[in-house]
Amino acid sequence: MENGPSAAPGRRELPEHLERTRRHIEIGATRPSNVEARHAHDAYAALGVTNALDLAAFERELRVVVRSNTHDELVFEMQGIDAPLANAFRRIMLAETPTMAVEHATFVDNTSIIHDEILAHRLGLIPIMADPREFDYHSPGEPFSEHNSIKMVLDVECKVRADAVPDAPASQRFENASVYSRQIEWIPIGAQGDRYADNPIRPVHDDILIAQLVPGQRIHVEMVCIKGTGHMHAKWSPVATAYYQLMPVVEIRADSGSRIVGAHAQQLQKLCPGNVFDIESVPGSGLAVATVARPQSCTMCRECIRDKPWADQIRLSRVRNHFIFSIESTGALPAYQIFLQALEIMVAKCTEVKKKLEAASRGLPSSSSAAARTAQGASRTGTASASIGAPLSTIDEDDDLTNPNRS
Amino acid sequence: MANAPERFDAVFLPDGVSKISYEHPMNDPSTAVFRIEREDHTIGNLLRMQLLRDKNVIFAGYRQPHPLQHHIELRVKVKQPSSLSEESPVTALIEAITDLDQELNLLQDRFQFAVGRAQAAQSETG
Repeated sequence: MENGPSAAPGRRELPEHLERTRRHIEIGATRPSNVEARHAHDAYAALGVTNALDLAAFERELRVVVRSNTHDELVFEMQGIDAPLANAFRRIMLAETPTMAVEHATFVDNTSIIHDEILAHRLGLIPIMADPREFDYHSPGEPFSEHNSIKMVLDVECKVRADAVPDAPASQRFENASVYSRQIEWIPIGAQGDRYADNPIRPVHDDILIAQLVPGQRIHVEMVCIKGTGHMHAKWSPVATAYYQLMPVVEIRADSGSRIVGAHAQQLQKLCPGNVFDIESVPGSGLAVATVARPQSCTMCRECIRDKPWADQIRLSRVRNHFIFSIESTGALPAYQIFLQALEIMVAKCTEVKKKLEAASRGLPSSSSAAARTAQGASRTGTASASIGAPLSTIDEDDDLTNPNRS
Repeated sequence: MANAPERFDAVFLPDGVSKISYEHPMNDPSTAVFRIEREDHTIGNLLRMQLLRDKNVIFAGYRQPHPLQHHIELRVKVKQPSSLSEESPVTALIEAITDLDQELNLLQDRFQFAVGRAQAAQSETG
């Protein structure tokens, strides 16, 4: 394979046109092309170029830059990682990072027009301001305690105000015509009251409309919040959305014959919804030339290359390993914490799989239940198998690993 | 709803089930199919990519056999073991995870640094 004198092992530069396919996804007027990334170590072996993992190069090329950071939203760029890694982060943030949410709702009284089931669902979706890291998972059948649950009560009744003016709107004539999340009351269990005295547990937002009532109607519901992940139900997802896009690149060919000038430049600047282009005059010649001023505003709408006489002069592409992440928190955790937790969860997954695999390959029976609980996704106590209904196997699964030839 | 699968079933490993097991199909020591319990495309695609970057790996692929089966199968074939190398699919996977771990640690450092710098800049401007 390494047949040329220039084929030094570990050489990483490719000819220009191939380097372009490695780095960019091309966006054509009708379709994107060159979408597939090449992960195989020998993808460029014929050229004597290795595509194998190089941690030193990874360290050199990895760049993280924060664009904006508030409690509720974080936008940052990550350069030098591959799509599977970026996608793993996204999926873990959406589905595997825990929060607290209402899981059990016991209706004492509900004479409103909203059915119990619908109301219970609405209550479940209210983000709860509580740090999930301070709670354990609750396994079915286990009693609720201060370490695995949060108790809340909503008790509102709609009444006519004593001082009501007859023709005023309902919101003024009636007390509790609208039920808001701020009326949910936290009932501390055990030492919770002292522990969270500085930052009491409450819904993240005060003004979420839960129901509307007329005089005589009442809602009285007791709720229990437990820890969960978005995998089980979306109400436990800590993010409103978490998504990434690839860095857009807009190029106008530089050679003088193919510049976009005059009326064409004016049209181009006008039609771009992202206002990507500027017009500059070339000194001395009096020519007005279109230039790319704000490529990052490009949404890849492709308006500038769709049936246009200058379509060949513009090249749209995306950088394959440059991700712009947006994380929008529901408010229970700061957005940057969600990403850090996703990282920790991934490290925990890696550690668990590696430990089990090393134990298995040495032929040692690994203590599955003890090690499993160290991992994030498995930190529940008690015998889950009994409640799941799976028969307790008499064969230790780990024994199978000592015999690599089992079939 | 009596026969609906339990929600947590997709996430929590039942007692007595090992997180990862493997077998060598056709008694070929250079090939292994790993069965990773309670994992999905998140880890599957990531490990596949990491394995493909390994010089000793000649095939890596994964699948989730069915959406209601909460495990993935990761198939790895390495170069035939020679007297020089002790490479096996198991060591390849361990190495892939070790590399991934290092990448994640580096990423964590860089991310915390970037966020810290952004927060410092924010408090300066007001």
